Amino acid sequence: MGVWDAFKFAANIYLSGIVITFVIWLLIVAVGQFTKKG
Amino acid sequence: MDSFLNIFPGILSFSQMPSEMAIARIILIGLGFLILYMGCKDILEPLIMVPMGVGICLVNAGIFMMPDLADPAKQKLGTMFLDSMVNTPTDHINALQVYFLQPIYALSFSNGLIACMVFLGIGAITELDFFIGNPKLSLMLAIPAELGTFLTFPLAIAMGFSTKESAAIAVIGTADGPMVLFSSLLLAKNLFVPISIISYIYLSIVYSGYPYLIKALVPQKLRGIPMKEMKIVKVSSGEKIAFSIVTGTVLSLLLPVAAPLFVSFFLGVIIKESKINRYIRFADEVLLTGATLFLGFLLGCLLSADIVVNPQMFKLIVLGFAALFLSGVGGLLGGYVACWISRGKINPLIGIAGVSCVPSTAKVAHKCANAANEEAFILPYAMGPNIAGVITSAILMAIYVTKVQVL
Repeated sequence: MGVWDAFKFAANIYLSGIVITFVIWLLIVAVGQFTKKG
Repeated sequence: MDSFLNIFPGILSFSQMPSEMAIARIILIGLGFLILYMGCKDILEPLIMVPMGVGICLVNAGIFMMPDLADPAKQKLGTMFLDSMVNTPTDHINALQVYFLQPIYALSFSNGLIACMVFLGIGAITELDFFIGNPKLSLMLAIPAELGTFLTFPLAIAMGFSTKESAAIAVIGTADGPMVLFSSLLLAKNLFVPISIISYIYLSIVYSGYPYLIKALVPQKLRGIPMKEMKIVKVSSGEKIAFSIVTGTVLSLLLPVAAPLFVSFFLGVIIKESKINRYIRFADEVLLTGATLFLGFLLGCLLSADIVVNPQMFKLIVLGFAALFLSGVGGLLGGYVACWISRGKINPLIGIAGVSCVPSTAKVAHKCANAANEEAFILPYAMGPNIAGVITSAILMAIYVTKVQVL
């Protein structure tokens, strides 16, 4: 793997991390709504 | 002279090894003393550094010519501590009966259990209020604080490491000891010892090193923002338990490779929020304390002269520094953005807490803010990005392991 490919690979991983982090945020909001209603 | 030296095989062993190894051994004994001293003086994190310093000193002193387990007719230089290079089941059984630390190494270290025990203990002492009360801010600050995890990977590739080794090195940027341990065991067992040792030494230096980075990048006026206008919302135990079980399940579904770490952390959180005091005391006082002691001691015992003379060690020292430096810079940049969006209500220093390394970076942010303005008490706010940092670190580590293993 070349350095530029490695950079793109790491950027891909970083972006995937951001997407999953966004999912976590949605989960916190959803759980918050659910427990407040409960 | 020879008959005199034969009485003391430890001293004799200096003449039985290559000269560079003998010199490295003497340097390491000195390094062990230095780390122990700095740990005792609180310059480095004492919980890890004191047992590590003792381990480094004694393992490098106690080397002698002993029977080779693989072939008892032959002799090799070794210690009575442990042998991390055993391969076959027979050698494993023999090693368990010879080396006093081998049972702990084989049953808790080489399978990552010790990292999980540390995570369970951390979960049991973690306060989630600010994180769950302000998830957007906390997670937004944790993402840029992974800059080192992102940029160290191409740097390591440029320095000639393989893809798997580079991924294991990049995880140093997550600034989370158990995470580094876990990923290097899965991805680069050959570099597991040097990566873990460098990572833990740097993580101990974070407490005294990051304040210089903060002073260099953030002016005193911004460091002293008191954040009094931000309220900490009290979150119920039920909400924290629901969050832990849902998030743990979803993360394990998405990234099964890191499920042991997720389950350990969230089990710790659930134990704390369930208020089962006996379990809380066990997880904190017994599990976390015991795991930290053996982690430090075993890492010290693994740092023998042959690892230091490895030519890759210098590259690892550079990359470990780069990873934590870049993560720190990324965290502060995220803090600046948060400060700008909130029109100066948020102290940018809480960004560096997103680097993870619970709770050291949060304490560093608070210490620097408090030094700039006595009214600034930002520790509770910094704990939000700090916890978010643990979660994003685990996510990035898991993605690295998953993607690199299929390459």
